[in-house]
Amino acid sequence: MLFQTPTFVVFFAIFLVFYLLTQGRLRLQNALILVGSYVFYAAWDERFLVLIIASTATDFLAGSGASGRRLTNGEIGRSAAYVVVGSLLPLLPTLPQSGSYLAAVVVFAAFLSGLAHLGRRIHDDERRQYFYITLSVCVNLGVLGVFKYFNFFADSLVTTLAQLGVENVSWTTLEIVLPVGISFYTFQTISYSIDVHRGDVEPSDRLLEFAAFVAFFPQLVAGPVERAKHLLPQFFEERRIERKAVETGLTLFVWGLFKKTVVADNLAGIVDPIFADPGAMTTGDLAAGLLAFAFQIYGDFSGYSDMARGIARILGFEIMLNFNLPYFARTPSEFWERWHISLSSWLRDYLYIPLGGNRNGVAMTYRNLMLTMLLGGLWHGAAWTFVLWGAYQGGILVLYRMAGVDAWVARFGDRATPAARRGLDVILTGSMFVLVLIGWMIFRADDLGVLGTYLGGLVDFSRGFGSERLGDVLFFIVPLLVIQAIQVWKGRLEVFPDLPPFARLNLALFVLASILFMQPFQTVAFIYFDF
Amino acid sequence: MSHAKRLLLLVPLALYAALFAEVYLRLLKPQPMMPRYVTDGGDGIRGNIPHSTYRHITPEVDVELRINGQGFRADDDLEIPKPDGVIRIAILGDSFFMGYEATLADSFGGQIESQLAMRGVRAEIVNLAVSGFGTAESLIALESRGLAFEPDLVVLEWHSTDPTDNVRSGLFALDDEGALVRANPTYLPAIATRDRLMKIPGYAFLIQHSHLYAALRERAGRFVKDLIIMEMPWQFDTEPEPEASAASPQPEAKAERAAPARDPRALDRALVRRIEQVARAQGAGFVLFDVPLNFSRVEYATSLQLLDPDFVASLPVLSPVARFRVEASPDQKLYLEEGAGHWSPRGNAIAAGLVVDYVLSGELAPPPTD
Repeated sequence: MLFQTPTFVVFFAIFLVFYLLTQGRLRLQNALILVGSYVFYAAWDERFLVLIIASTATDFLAGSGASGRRLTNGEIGRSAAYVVVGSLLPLLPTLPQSGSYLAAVVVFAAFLSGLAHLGRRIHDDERRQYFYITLSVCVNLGVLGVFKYFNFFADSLVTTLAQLGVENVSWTTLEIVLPVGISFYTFQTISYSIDVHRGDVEPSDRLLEFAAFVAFFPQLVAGPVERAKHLLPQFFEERRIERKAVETGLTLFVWGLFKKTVVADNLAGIVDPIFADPGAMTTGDLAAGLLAFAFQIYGDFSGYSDMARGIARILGFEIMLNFNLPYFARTPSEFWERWHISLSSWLRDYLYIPLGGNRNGVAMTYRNLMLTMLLGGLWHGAAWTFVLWGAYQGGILVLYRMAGVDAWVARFGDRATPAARRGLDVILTGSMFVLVLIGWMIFRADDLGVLGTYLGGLVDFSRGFGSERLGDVLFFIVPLLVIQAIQVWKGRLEVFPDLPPFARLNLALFVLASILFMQPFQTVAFIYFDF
Repeated sequence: MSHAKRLLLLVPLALYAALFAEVYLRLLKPQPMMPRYVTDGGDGIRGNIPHSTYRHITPEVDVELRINGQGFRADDDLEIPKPDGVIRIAILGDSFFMGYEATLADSFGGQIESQLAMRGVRAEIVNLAVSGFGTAESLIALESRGLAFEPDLVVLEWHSTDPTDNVRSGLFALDDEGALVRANPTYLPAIATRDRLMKIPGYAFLIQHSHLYAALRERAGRFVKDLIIMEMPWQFDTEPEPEASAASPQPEAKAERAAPARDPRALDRALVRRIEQVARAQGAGFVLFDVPLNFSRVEYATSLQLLDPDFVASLPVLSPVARFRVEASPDQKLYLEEGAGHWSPRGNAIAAGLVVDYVLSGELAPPPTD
C-alpha cells in the first residue's frame, strides 16, 4: 500500500475515523494503531507479518532482560502467546497452504520461551544482560541474513569456488522474497534492546505499546529508523488531533508527495534508459543521467520520509527528521549528518562507536570509518555495487579526515569575512556534490560491468557533451532547488508558514497542480522498499 | 469570520485556482486538445454526433474533424442503395480507424479511398469507427449501422486495448457452453452527463480550448475506466497466450485456465468470429487488421499476440508490423508522440496500403468500373 495511491487514502480515511472515535482512550487507540499497522503491512504480504511479530516478541523479552531484571513467567508466556496468536490471524485465511509457516511459528515461540527461561538461570547480571542483547541481535540479524542476504552470499560462494577451480558446486538458492521494510524494523528493535541495556530508555512492560512502536505504519516500511527513546514514550502520552498539527502534517505530506511523484517518478523515466544502456549514450547524457538519479533517489526517499512524518504528525506523533538538505553539505561527514540521518546515526551509535570510534588512534579511526560505511553499504542491498559504494563513502570520509578539511573549514569560518565564507561554501558544496554523484553512479549501476561502461563513457569525451535529456532533468529539479534555496536562506525546513499569504497560496497551487498534472500515470514504488 | 463569509470566499479562491491551473498547464504541460463528440447512437452504444465539426490540436497537429449526417467521419452522406461500380469498405474500430489526429485525407479511411482511386478503383469508406470502441461495440455497429450500406469488405481493427474494452463494456458474455450472448442492452459510459453538459452554453468552447478541462477529463476518464475494470468478475490478463505446443500439452496448466464464461480471451475470439460471420453472411469479405504496439520509432510489435495464435491463423489478417519495421527510422514518426499516439500521416498511408493491396490482390475482386 503506497502512500501516493487511492488505496492508502481510503485506508487512512477509515483509520482516521476510528482514531478520532478512540480519542481519550489511549490503550484502545494504541491497539487501533497496532491493528491498522498490521493491516497496512498485510496489504503487501500477510505472511511476512510473522517476522515483525517475531522481532517484536524477541525484543520485548530481550529489552526487559537487557535492563538487568529477571523476566517473569507472565512476560515470557505473553510473548510466546503473542507470537502464536498474532501469526495465526494473518495465516488463518490461507491455512492449508500456510501450515508449514504456522509450524515454524510454534517452533520459534517454543525456542524463544526456552531461551528466555535459560537466560533467567544466569546469575551474573552483566552476563545475563549480554545474553539477552545477543538474543536480540542474533534473531534480528538472523532474519535479515536469511531473507536479505542468503542468496547473495550463496551465489558469491559458488562464483568464488568456480574461480578457484572448484566446479560443479551445487547450492540450493532459495526462492526468497525480500520482505518490505525488514531492514528498517529489525534495526529499530535491535537499537531498543541496546538502548535499554545502556540505560538510555526504560524497558517497556506493555507488549501492546511496544508492538505498536515496532509496527507504527507511517515509518514501518521505509523508516525513519526510529529510536525507542524518542518514539516509544509517545505511545504513553495522551494524543489529540490538533488543527495546527494537521495543517503542518498535511503540508509535509503534500511536499513529500511532490518530491516523490513529480520529481522522483519523472526522473526515473529519464534515469532508467540511460543506466540500461550506458554504452549507447553521449557523455552529456551520462552526466544528465547521474544528475537525474541524484535527485530521483533524494526525491524518492526524502519524499517518503516527509510523507511518513506528515502522517505521524496528523496522528499526534513526531518522528525524527531523516533528510536535511543533504546536497548542500560541504564535506562527507556533513553529508552523512544530513542524508538518511536515522540510519547514519544508527550506524554511528551502534557500530562506529562500539568499534572504538575515534578513541583508539588515527589508524583505528580510519578502520572503523571504513568498516561502518562498508556495512552501511551492504545494508542497502545484497550486491557488490552496494559494498563498493560503502567502501567509496568510507574512503572519502577517511580522505577528508586525513586532510583535516572539517577542522579547517571550522577554523576558516571563524576568521573569514562573510563573502569569503560564502565563496568557500560554494566551492566545497560543489566539490562534495560531484563526489556524491560519483557515489550514486556506483550505487545505481546494476552490476560492476555497467559501472565500468558508465564510468568509461563519462570520461570518453569523444562521445560528445550534447544531451537532449538535460533540459528535462533541469525542468524537474529546478523547482525543488528553488524551494531548497528558500529553506537554506531562512535556515529552517518548514518555511511554508513564514511566506506571505499570497506567495503561500501560489506555492500551494503550484505544488498541487504539479502533483495532479505532472506525475506519470504509472505508479512507481519507492526505491527504498527494495532495501 | 462567519461560516457564510468563509464559504463565499471559496468562490473567488476556486476561480483563482482554476485560472492558475489553466496558466500552469499552458506554460508547463500543454494538453492535447482532443475533444470527443459522441452521444447515444440509438442502438445501445456510442455514436459520433452527426453534423458535428471540431478540432484536434496538439503540439504536432491541428486538424478538423467533420462528421456527416450518418455519424461517420466523412464530408458527405453515403447513398443507399450502394451506387453501381463502387466497392464499399466498412472499417470497424476505435480512434485509430476513425482518424484521430489526422485530416480526413490523411486518415486510414481517407488513404484507402485515395490510394484505390489512384489505381482506378472507385471505393467508398463506411467509417463505423468511434473513439473508445472495442470489438463488442464494433459488432453492434456493423449489425445496426453498417449492413445497410452493403459493404463489400469489412476491416475489423484489433488493438491492444480491445481485450479490456470488451470486458469493460459488458455488452456480451459467454454462456457456460462458450457461446456468445448479449449480456447488456447498452453501454453508454458518461454519455448522459456529456449530453447534459453539451447543452450548457460555453461548454463546447471549454472542451475545445481549456487545457485544464482536457487534463481533468483525461484523468477522470482513466480513473473511471480503472474502477469499472476492477469491478469485473473476469479473470483478466493481458499477457500474451503461450505458444501452443503439441509436444508439451501441459494438461494441468490447461485445467487451471479460466472457464469460457469468465475467460476474456475466449470472449475476444467469439466477438471477432461473430463479426466475420455477420460480414460473410452479407456476402462481404472480412479481414482482421492489427494495430501494432510501438515502443519507439524503430520498435514495433503485433497486438495479435493478445489473441490465440491458432485462432489468428484461421482468419484473414493484415498486419503493418513488417512494413513499419522496413520504414522505421529514428527520423520518421509512424505514430504521433505528443498527443494521443495515433498514426501519423505516413503511418496511416502504410496501414491503408495493406488494405489496398489486399483489395487489388484478387482476394476481394473489385467490381467492374464504367
